Amino acid sequence: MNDQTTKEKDELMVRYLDGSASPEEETELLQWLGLSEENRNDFLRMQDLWLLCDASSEKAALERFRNRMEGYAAPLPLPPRYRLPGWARTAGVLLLCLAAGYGSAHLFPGKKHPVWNQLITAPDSKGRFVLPDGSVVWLNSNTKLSYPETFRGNERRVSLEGEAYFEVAENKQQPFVVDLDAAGLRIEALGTAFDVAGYPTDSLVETVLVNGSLRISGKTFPHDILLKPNQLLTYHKEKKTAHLDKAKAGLYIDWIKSRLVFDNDCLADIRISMEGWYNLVIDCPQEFAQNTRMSFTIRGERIDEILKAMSFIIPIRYTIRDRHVKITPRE
Amino acid sequence: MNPKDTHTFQTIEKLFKNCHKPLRAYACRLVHDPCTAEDIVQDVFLELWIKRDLLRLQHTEEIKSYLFKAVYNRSINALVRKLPDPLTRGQTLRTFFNPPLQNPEQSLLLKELDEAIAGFVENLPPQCKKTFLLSRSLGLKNAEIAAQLGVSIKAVEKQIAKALRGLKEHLSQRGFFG
Repeated sequence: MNDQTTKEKDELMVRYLDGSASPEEETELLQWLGLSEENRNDFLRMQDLWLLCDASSEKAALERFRNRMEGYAAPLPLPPRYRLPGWARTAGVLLLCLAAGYGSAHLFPGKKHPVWNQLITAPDSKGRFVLPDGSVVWLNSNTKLSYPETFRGNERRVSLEGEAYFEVAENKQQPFVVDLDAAGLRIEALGTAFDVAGYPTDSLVETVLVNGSLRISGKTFPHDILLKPNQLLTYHKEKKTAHLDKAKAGLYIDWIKSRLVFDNDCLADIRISMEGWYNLVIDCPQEFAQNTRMSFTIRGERIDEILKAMSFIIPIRYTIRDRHVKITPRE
Repeated sequence: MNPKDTHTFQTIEKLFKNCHKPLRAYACRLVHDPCTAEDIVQDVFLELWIKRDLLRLQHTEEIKSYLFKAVYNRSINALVRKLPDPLTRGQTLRTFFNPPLQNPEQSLLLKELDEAIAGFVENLPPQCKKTFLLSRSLGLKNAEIAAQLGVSIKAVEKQIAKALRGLKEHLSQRGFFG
């Protein structure tokens, strides 16, 4: 093979690894791989190096793993359903009321209807639960999740009001579907980790994908939207508009941790982590938030305590009204 | 968390930092999809944490072999689940069970390999180094790098291909990747 062809082949590999190769180019690469063992080994080595040099995804991967470890901080009992994580029990809050299956016979008369369970978290509590298929779900405060006792049929369908982070157990034959009835949205996942925030009282529904792939369909959408990792879909319920953005997905699931640690992070990122943690909306001028960095840790402190402490470190004023916090720079 | 768990937590976190990239590269060789590979590595480490009381975590070298083995098994399972019907499985599996790397630890997880990579990248020509670091250290897509540096996408692809190919030759000459 002459020098020019080698170079073109290398560039084709780089496009493939970057994810920007066209379908025709992918086919071309596959054909070349089919030619010889030598070609396959060469490509695999290039892919090894591409991934070994990939320092950028390292932080997000570690963050996700820490979250998951903390979620499993208490030894897992059998069966693992309905157990609260360690931090929730030590905090001494009553987490949820379980309107479990036995009551639902009244709601669904007739034997053929599946039995539905509900998980409900109080305004000041969160919790981690394992669903019948092994999928793990974290519920943020003031949230309701309904799911059938066993997933039958060709879908695993649950219904959500509020915010939840899902780590879906892979099962390609039976896709996992989250219904947000109030917003008319339907989110379909295949072996995926993602966060959905859709409170009935909020005008926005936010969906962030950490890993895998998601398909979102809405009654008002002309076509389905496919979400890639680190993308945020914001849906406005009244305006019925959807908006796709890049996002640091890790920040949107910070609320499932037992503590929040900020290490020279910018206020723009801290704001997102705190919104989920306290389950409220925080407004702050974007330019100021981008250019202000701070380090601190949140454990069990209330929002007003944290804001007061923050105002000692950086020049800010703040107001808290219901679920709205407004931060402004102090002159 | 009790003190013993806190210690285990830190041990596993350190293992994760050391082995995540090589394990992901290994899984990607098997499943050919970076996202699935990432999920597999995450699950293997989470299992390590869940089973922490059953494992002797202080034997780091044993644990590393275990991690590669576990990633291999889960990758094969992921592939088997994707296969259309049971009849074809035996046939297709035979090709999978020919491990693509005889000794993944030796070829992907050497500390010297990390150092050799860092040394090579350090000595790249400035524009090539800048392009490569924007891609690999900051995770920018080729098109984003092109926009940031004010060059064509083609030029970005050329620089990255040059760096990657050079790196591979540099490592082969030094006896890595035998």
